[in-house]
Amino acid sequence: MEPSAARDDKHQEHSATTYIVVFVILMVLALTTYLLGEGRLSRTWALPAAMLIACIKAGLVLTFFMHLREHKGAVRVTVGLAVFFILMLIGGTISDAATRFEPSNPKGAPFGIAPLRTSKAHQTASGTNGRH
Amino acid sequence: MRSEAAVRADELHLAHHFSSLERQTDAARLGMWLFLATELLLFGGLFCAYSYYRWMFPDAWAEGSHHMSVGLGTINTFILLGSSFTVAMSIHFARVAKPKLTVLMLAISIVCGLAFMGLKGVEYADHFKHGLLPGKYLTSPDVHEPAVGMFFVLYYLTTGLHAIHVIAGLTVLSVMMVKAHRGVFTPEYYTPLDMGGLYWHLVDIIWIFLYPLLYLVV
Repeated sequence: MEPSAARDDKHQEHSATTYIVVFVILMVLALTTYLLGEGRLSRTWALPAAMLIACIKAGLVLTFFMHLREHKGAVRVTVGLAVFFILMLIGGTISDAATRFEPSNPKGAPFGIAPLRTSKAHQTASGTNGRH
Repeated sequence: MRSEAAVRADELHLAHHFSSLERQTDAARLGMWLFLATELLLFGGLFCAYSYYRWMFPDAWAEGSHHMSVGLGTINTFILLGSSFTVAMSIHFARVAKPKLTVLMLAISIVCGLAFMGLKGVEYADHFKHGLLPGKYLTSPDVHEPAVGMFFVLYYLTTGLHAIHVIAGLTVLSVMMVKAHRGVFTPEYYTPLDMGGLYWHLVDIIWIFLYPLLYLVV
């Protein structure tokens, strides 16, 4: 445990100027998100661009406003693991949705893999209903 | 040699099972971050559902998003970012022993939070008026894609849960403002204010992601 005097010195490093600069950057990034949205980027790029900016904003809030910069060890591991778990959850779900056969998707969903073409001859020969 | 203020802070706030105020604060901070991690995972489930349905119905998502008021959403984004800044400043002023400015910053943060809720209420009222409701209750004649109802299910779930967190955050900030006004926080001890601030910043971070995901879908 570091002495309280050392902690206080470290806290003094955070002048009000740091917060003001971070706040201005956050406002500029929020404005950029809005302008990109209004500029109607293509569907391919709109979401990655918006998420990139959102991640930068969240990173700034975490690092400076939430003082993650000052706290190492268990606190950082906690944050990192929570984010990792969410990414795993979303990544797993999307990878499932992206690799389904079309009939298993809800009506109107444009994505998916075309159903297997199973001929009657093949079904007869294999003695199954074609659901391999 | 410890200062008189540090000794007094120990007398007032140090629990008997901690050897020092620093250790007590570190334990509180880790506990708070663990709590925030569970909050992130709570929202993570909804973000997961959002990702799945957006993947399945991209056209309906774009149409649903076009019914949002981008202006109000953007103003609310600026308001919440501003409130996060004032909360950070309130902790800064507690650290440098300026209690009046701490109270002022917290008061501005609370006003920002109330303004956010007010604008959100205006948005909700407008959606209700135009029949932009979740699932089978969607009655708006301007909607073409049937799955837009699912967009509004996720819209109300995410923004509703977020609004509950804003209300909880406002309650915490109000308590902190009263404590700051009573002079509880000093450069030696401001742990509750620090923890309350962390909660409010989490509310801000959730909105940072909700804003483009709900208002700016193309």
